[in-house]
Amino acid sequence: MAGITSPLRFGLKHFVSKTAMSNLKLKPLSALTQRSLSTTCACYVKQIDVTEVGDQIVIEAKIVPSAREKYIAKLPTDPTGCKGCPLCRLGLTVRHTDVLIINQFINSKGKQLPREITGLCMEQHKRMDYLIVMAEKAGLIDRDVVRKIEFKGLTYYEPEEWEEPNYRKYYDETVINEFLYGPRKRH
Amino acid sequence: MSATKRVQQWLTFTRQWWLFDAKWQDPYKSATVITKYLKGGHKPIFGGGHMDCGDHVVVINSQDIALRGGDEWYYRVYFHHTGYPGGATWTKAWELHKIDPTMILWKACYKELDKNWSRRGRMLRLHIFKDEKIPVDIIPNITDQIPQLRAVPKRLKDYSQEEIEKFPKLFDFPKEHVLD
Amino acid sequence: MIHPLRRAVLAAVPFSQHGSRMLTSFSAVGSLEASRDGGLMQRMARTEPVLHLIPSRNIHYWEREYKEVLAARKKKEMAANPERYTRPNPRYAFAEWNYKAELYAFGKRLGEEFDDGLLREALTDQSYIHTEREKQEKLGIDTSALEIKNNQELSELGAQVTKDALLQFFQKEIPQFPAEGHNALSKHLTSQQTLTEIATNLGFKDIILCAEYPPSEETYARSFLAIVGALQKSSGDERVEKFVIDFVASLLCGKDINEIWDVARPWHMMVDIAKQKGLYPVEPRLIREAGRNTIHAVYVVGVYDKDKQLLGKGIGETLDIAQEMAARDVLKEFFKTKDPMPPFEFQSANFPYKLVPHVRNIHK
Repeated sequence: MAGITSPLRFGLKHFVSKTAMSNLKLKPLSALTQRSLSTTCACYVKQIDVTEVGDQIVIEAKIVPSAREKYIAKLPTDPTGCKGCPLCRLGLTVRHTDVLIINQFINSKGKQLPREITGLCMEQHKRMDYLIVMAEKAGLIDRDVVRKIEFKGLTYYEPEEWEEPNYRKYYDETVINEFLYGPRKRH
Repeated sequence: MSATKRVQQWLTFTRQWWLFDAKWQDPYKSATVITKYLKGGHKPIFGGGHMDCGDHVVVINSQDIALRGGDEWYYRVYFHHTGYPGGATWTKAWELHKIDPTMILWKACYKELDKNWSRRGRMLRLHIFKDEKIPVDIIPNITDQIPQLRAVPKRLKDYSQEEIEKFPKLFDFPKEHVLD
Repeated sequence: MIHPLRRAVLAAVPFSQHGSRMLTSFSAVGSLEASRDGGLMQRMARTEPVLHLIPSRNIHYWEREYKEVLAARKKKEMAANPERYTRPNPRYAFAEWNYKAELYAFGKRLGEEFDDGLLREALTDQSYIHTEREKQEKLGIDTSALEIKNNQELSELGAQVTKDALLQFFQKEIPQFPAEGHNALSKHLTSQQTLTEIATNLGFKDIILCAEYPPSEETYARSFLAIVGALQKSSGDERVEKFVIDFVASLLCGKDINEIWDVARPWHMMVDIAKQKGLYPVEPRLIREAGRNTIHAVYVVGVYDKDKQLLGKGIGETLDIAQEMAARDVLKEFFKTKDPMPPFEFQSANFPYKLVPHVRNIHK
């Protein structure tokens, strides 16, 4: 069921924003192009240096050692047989308040990193997706992304501000199971 | 009654004062714990709801309570009727919280207590304050604190850059990966 | 309107003898009758006082008047011949009372061997001798030959014996308890009230020969002590010690001995003993408190010795009371009388069966 697995199940408030849709169309540059010109972040694995010598602009890509390398956790092998996924091998229930873990799975804008990089299995990838949203809604991490939701042929955008003041919220992670596998069976 | 028995009795039926920090706590789940102390259910002498052995509870930081995610602040509604035709009002939780930050917790505890004549007396032993400022004459009364139901989460901003960097990482970036 | 039967009852018995429940007048009916002038004239003209009907839960209205008649009759009869209804009715006044046989059975019930003459002497009060003598003088009999001894001598002997036995028992059982406390316990156990309790439970009431009935507390106490004295003369010291432990010292069961001996200045006494034991200086410290600014304030004070070890703690609604109670607690610790105390060992060495497994020996 598409409706169940959708983030609509969060109980969020949704509305169609035509202006936001048109705004999105005004972004022709691909992400790759934008990335290669960025010079802000200092912890590149592949560092891109831009130097100006007279009239010339020299763009150089240097491969630098990763800053993470020293702090990689030694993970046990997962008894369930999920070999590569670090979260399965970690064997912990990650909560949306564990911002130091969640922070590892997002980029500087707050967007979730793809599975090719993180190495998560499909289930944990979806789970992490929800956890990131929860952490953001609870005000624990800051994100600079517009969350687009496509549902039944329509595109929804989450509102930036709520009607009510930004009071504290907490989330229950057990609802993620319902998002993933459908509602609980009640006998 | 001997002097020893008398003071023992005094100690047994004394009213203790408990502190509860409502920061990031669900008011409705906290109410079940708070009312247990208001009724005296945590005491070994407790023998039912008719017993008058309840303690005082001082709740602080009630303005920082957390409701369930999604839009519970929006759909939790408090009903009131003035008694006149057309006098019904429905106040959303966030509106009520804006008017009085202690009201949601008070109502949650009031609803949780047994519906009998001892309820008002027990509610008089509940002292809710919106922040950490407690009146001076209440502070020396406090004996102990009730543990919080949820740990207070820490924002990513509140961690230092060093803490974030040195936290164990679950994966490393592949070669030739460009971060953004 | 008053019921004719009730009217008869009212006429038969004067008002002062009625209970409030008996005299009733239906004021509601009366007001109906006097509705024309508001009942004012009738109320003023009424000679008997107006008593309102007191509702009774247990008496049905149809039984009420009948019971009132019965009560009035009974009251009248009791007033006419009071001696029939006055209690107590002494057993020795009965026709078949055999004092000699009762005396013998009484001695056997106590499980001791008494000399008959001594037993009779122990239960003969001075007042009995007076009344006997008066009776005989009235009849014109020469009373100079009447030789009956009263129990005064025996009771004095018995008091001394009882005190010695008790002090010996306390010395064996609670040796750390000070001598002052031993004396206080002994005084409590040989008080008139305690001895009366023992004597009434042993069936002294009808067997004591004295003028008044029931005997006064003083008579009970004197007779019991005289019994102890008689036993000492009859069977010797060993038996009398066991008797005293069985019947007198056993009253300490279930009682708090610290309650019986009230220390006047516990903190001073505690400090004195701590100095002797080398624990001085002792220091009171506040361990816990609750509700300091309320009327339900409670403080728990601990007493620490010079090595900062906790000696005892006390509770109180003020700090002074808590400190005093802490001193009492430390004293109990010093005297080895802290609650729960192990039970006293009442049984004697030559008793063939061990009745209770005594935990007391573990601590010795």
